[in-house]
Amino acid sequence: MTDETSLDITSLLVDWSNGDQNALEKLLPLVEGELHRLAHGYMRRENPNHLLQTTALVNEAYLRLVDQKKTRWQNRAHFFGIAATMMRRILMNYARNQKRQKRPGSAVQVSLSEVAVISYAKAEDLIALDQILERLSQIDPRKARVVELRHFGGLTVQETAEVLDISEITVNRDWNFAVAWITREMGCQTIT
Amino acid sequence: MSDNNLSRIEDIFHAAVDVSPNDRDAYLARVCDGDTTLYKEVSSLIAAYESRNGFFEQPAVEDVFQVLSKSSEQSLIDKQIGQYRILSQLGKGGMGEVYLAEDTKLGRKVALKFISAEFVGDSWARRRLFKEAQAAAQLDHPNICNVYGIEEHGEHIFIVMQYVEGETLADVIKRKALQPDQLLRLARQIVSALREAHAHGIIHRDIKPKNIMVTLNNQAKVLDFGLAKTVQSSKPIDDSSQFSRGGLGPGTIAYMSPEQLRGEDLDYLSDIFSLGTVLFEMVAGENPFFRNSEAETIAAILADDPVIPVGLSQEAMQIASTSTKCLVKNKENRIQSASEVLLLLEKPVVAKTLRKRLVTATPSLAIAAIVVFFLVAILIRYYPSPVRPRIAILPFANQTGDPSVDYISAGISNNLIDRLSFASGLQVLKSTAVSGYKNHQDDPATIGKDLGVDALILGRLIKEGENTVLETRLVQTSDGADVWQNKSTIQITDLLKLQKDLSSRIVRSLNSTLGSSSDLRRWIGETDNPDAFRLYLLGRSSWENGRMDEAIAAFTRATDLDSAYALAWSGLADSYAMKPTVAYGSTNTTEAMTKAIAAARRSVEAGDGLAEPHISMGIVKMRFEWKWAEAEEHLKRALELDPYRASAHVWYATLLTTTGRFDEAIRETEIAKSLDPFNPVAVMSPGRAYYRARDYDKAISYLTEVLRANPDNRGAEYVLGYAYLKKGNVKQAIATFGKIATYNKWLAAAPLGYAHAKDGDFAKARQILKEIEEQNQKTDPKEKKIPSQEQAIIYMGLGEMDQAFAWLEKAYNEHFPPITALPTEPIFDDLHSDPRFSDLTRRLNLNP
Repeated sequence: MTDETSLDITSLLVDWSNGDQNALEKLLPLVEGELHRLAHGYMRRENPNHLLQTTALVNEAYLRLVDQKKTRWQNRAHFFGIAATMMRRILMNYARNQKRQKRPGSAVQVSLSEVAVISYAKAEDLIALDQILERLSQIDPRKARVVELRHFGGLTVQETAEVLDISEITVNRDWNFAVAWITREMGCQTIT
Repeated sequence: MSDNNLSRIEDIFHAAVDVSPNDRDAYLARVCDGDTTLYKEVSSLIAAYESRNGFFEQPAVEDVFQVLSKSSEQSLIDKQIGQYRILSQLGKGGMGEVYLAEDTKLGRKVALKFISAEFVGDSWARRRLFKEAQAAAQLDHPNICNVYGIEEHGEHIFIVMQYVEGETLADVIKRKALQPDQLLRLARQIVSALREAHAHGIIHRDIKPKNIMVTLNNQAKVLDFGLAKTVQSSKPIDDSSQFSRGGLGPGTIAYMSPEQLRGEDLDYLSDIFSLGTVLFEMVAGENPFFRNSEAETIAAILADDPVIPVGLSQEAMQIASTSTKCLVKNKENRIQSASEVLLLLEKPVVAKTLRKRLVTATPSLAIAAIVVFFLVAILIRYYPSPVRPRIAILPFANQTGDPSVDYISAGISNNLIDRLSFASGLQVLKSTAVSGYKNHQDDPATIGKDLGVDALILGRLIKEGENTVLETRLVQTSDGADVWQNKSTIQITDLLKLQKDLSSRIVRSLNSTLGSSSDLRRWIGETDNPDAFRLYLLGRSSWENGRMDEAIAAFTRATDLDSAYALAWSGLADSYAMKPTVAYGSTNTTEAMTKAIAAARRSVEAGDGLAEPHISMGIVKMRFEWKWAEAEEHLKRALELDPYRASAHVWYATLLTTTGRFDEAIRETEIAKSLDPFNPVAVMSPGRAYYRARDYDKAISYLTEVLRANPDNRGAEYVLGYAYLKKGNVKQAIATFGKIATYNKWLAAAPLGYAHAKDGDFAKARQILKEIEEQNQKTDPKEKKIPSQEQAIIYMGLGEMDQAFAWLEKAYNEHFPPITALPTEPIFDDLHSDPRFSDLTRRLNLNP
């Protein structure tokens, strides 16, 4: 990768941490490429423990993408935040695709190379979760973000606290409440 | 849920969750106090919370991994792509698969590393791949897996590599298949491969036993410069390997350097650390830091010191102790290059016979002689292992209160350094500079650990009554204990005479041990004349303190007394060579040039087997004759004769810089710095090399650090000022040169003028020009002259390029040596597009 790309990412990261949402849109595809690439390597481990690996993987992506000379340490936390958003999007795109392709009763033939990694039911759950999370973010954006970071980004409580610049106690409270709320909303949705 | 009572709902929720389930309903009823909406809201949330199923227990991140890593794998086996028929898959990497293939045109087996289909459209990955191939294809070394090229066929892009048959070093280690001498040979091959890569500016970044193949003939082949990156580009390229499977885990992390784990910018030293883990594993059978989990492994790399197993053979011990030099956590204190690692691995075992000869050669020598003999003998006794102990001799302090013998205390320690480093049982860190730790009060164990040496030699001259006393101590770094000490009353004139006697006797006994004639010739440079010797010491001391005229006087008298005194001739050549510079303020190149060239010739005639004369010759060829290839020959010869001499590395770096080979120059300066950590020039030289390589950020941070440690490093300050200028930080540059002007007005004049001009203050810049003109009109020979090149710099700042070129032309016609920096000195970058620049460069025998 060229210096310019690295510089781009670095300055985008700085812009985004300063609140520029456009910067995020430009960042995401770059991060996605790198995550895809790295995950290939990670998945081949004999004894996968994905939770432990998340930090390592995202950190590696960070090291590869961002010019450390040009950024401060705090930017790593922001990068982890972006990675979580990215991971959520990747999963949701896949789930939607999955749902489209494998509509029950449809005759779409799935090629061998397209063997699903998540079940249809799970894809439906994920889509529901995504929508509810979207609603939660309208009401209480921080709680939605805690869920995104922890659930999709695999961040620990401590890392989440670091990204959001809040205490770990607050992260735990937000998380418990958000889980309760989302679970309730999902239950309602299933009934309807 | 409505917004306004959200926080109330939340508070009650958290409180209620903490209440035991039996009492919860009552608690809720009480708190909600008849507000049924609130009650329903909270209790439904609690019910949901209690009933939450596995959904959140299993983070979605696992699914993300599944999705991310999924790729449409279409087997390439049996396909024909271009001239290659794919035979089987060898492995997978982050960017794609590696296949064994037959090159049907050339009839040989090759390994093809494909870039995955999903990345083919990605111009970024594509560029990285081409860069990787280009970097790797530069390397041609018997211990590096060859990269033949990169090809593109339709949707496929792949790197064509040499197919290496054999097993990985990891398997070899596991099988305990090799004898110690075979291991040592492999170790040397691996290090030599790394040295070659580093020489091309390529960092491997993933040195581990799985990336090293051992062929059927027990030949090491370092594979997969897939992670390699050129120093200039800032990001790694790929992590796939021909045979090993990619990916992290404690197994891979265990070979990473501390700085790699911390995510810092990596340089060669990271590879050196990884190399250390490999070397260690070769003899110990296991990675020194491997633990059950990644976290523990990381902690071990950052904190644990590897423990060398007991009962190793001599060869294994040599590898093990070398590995510990590589495994120093702080990269500053780590052994600084693959070349040095190789030196440690290549040293033959000589200690035992040497000791025997030395003991028989000590009948009735004077005290100073015994000092040196004991030092050698004791060191050898204390370090009977085949591994050469690393020692440092700190500059001896003069505590007599008589500054006129400064040069003697410095001279004794310097001579001791030369002598001991020539005793092959030792590796001597040469700290020739008189500054640094000269009067350092730190305890020796700390200093020794800082320097990474096994033992220290300390000494001081003191007055006791009428007598001058030389006190010498040998201190072991591990516990700070005095291994040996000596206190002897000496007459200064006797001492000088004795040192001469002593050196020739030591030389004789050492040479009879080593039996090599070229080693014998090394000592031809000495003199028989005690006054010449004293003057030589005086000359060196003056030279190191920048008093060139005094140095010239002393060296001239030394050569008058002994016309075959090679070292004095060398000193004279160096002194004349440094005269025509801005710093030393002479523009009369003709006289300096004639005398320097003559002195360098005399020096080489008298001491061809010594490093110093060849350094002098190299300097003269560079500065006056502009014969770059010949200069390189002499400097390389000097390095061959004495690879531990920092000044040889510094001057070689100057040559490399001037001829545009910045990566190699940086490497040389880093070696110089590690060899002579007290020498201000050696210490600042990496900063100058970064600056010349146009890495201004690195130069600034490095030089700032140097100045923090030693505010008197004037060379560092000067280069720092220029780095600020090029970085566009004009205010800082003005401040820095302003400070320099307080102790050397004319040295700072041109850059200060340039900076003011760049700052928009043309009046100040012109004022400086005027002052320079006035100064140059003074006729008193003691007054400094400011070289034409300096005026060119100010005109450049003013944007008057015609004037700038006119003054540069004048500097060229005056044959002013620093004009040779023109093609590569960043300050002249603005001139590059002008044809007059290329013309001047060509006339300097340098490529534009």
